[in-house]
Amino acid sequence: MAKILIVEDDKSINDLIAMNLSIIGYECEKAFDGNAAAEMIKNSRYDLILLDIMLPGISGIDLLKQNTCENTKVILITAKGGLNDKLEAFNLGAFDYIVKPFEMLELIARVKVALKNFDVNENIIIKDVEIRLREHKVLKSGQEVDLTILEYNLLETLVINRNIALSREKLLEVVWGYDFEGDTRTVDVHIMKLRKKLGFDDVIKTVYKMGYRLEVSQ
Amino acid sequence: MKIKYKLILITVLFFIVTINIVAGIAINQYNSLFIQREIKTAKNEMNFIMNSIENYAKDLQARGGIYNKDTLISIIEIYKKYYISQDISLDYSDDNMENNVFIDTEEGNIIIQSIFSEPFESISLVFKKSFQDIYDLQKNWNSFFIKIYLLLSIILAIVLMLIISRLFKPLDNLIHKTDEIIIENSNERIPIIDNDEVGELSTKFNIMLDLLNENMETIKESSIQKQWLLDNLTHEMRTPLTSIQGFSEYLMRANASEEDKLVALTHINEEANRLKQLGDKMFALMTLKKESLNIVKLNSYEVFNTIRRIEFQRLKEMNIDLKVNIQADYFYGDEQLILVLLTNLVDNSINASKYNSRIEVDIYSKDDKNIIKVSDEGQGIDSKDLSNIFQPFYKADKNRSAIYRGAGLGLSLCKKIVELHDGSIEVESQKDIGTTIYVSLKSI
Repeated sequence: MAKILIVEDDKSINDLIAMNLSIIGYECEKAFDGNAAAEMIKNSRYDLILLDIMLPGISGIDLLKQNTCENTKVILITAKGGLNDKLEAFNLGAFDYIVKPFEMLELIARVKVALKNFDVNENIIIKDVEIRLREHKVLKSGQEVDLTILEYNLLETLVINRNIALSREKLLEVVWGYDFEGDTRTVDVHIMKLRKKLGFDDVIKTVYKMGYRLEVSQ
Repeated sequence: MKIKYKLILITVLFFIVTINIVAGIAINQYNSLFIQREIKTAKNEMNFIMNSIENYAKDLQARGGIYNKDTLISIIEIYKKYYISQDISLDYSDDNMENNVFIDTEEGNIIIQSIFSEPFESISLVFKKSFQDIYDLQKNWNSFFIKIYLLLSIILAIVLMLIISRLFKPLDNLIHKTDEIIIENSNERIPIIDNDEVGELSTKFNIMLDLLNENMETIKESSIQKQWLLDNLTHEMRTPLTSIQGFSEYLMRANASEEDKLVALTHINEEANRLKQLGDKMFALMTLKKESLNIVKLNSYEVFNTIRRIEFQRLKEMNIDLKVNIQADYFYGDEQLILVLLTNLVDNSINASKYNSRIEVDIYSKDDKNIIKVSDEGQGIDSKDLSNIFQPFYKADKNRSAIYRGAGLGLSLCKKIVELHDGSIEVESQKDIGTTIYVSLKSI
């Protein structure tokens, strides 16, 4: 599983990011100032660094300038959406940026994009089901399960955002696309089929008023 | 209509009316005198003619002629013929009207009727003389007069126009200049040419412009200040809001453990508190008014015991020794605000202090002031930041502030409170040695 370093001086924001990323299966470490971050980067390897620009000690921009984060993808966290800051960040080699305040799903989506190559190599095993993301293949007790493209995409979305409830609307938007004009019942029907085919009745949970959540123990 | 045109019109009208009345009276007077004289002449002439006729008749009688009415009439006829050449018409009448004078204004005649003496008292002589020529003269005179005063009026209007225009020139200049200043929004002032009313007005106008500019500056400054406050406030609200929003979303969506749920809830609670404090301080800063102050005599021991109670937990956590030296038993202030002030100051000191250090608070009298001194052995403030620390949202040490997460309103609020008490607040600080704050309050 990918390892992420969160460098953010505000404890609550740091916790927030860490908790959100942990729940979908990432391993998170926290740093609250630039110096600590530099130290941690030196001592261990991370697959992604989420870096606040305004930091006590060494600032986020300085950390980038000093090439401390070389070889690691960096997503900058900024409070202001100033163009200059963003451009400088990209010039210094940041992979992406996210502006505070951000939504949880946006954060996850950006992290997912940054870690795409890494994640794809992963095979996710839930109960007796193995999901091979790279091959778009699902095996149940070693036997390949026959899923339609939509069913597979739905499963993949739920797996990527595991442990997080996704609304029917969100799922429609992600899996079926913006243009799709069907109603949310379509989602319910596909969820039912997935549950049946994979024996996921207690894995894909219906969350009251929120939507569906694929639950995996952390 | 502009005042100058009004002035010209009124003056010319007044002139015409006055001249008209005066001239009318004069001409009338002159005419009536003229007619009086004409009547007198006519009367004399008539008397002469009557006497002649009577004498003629008496002569005839004396020479043995017939002396009767017909004789008289024939004599009158003779005279009549003769006087026609002199524009006098004579006639006789049977009405015995004595000395009657008519003036026939339509035809321009004077008519006089008079009775002959005895024995011809039944016959009267009617004398008629034209004064048409005088009438014509008068008419000519009148039309001449009208021409003259029309001409005079025009001349008067022109002269008045010139004079008034000249007089009004500074006023026009003033208007013109004012227009320029309004349109170009320039900082120019109106040149003062004369010391007359317009000059005075210009001076006043300049003073007004100065005042206006000054006020504009103040308004601009305060609006910039307000904008800045608002920007900062928005910025300060963003982090707690992100946190609250994020954690609540987490709670709604995530399949979280009970432990994680508690962490999220704690954060939400803390951030909500932070927002509340920010709001309270901001509200206090914006709305605290001198009128709402309730200044009373405060017991120093009680006040500082309260402060100690409020700060107890934090002092204990940091193992800080809060030493209070009371040399003035009483001081004056609004109890609530003084508590806010002192808590803020002690809070700041604790934030700046190292573990296991000391904070000293002194209260004493000096001259007619009560001085409260709060000093710590903390990290101190950079000299470049010292002048700014009372500014709202100013954070001298970004590292520390981030950890203690104040919005940077504490000292602004302290300053405001002290100012409302007509006191002063000063700061002395040395980097890494410590900071001392002096609050000086009036001791009524």
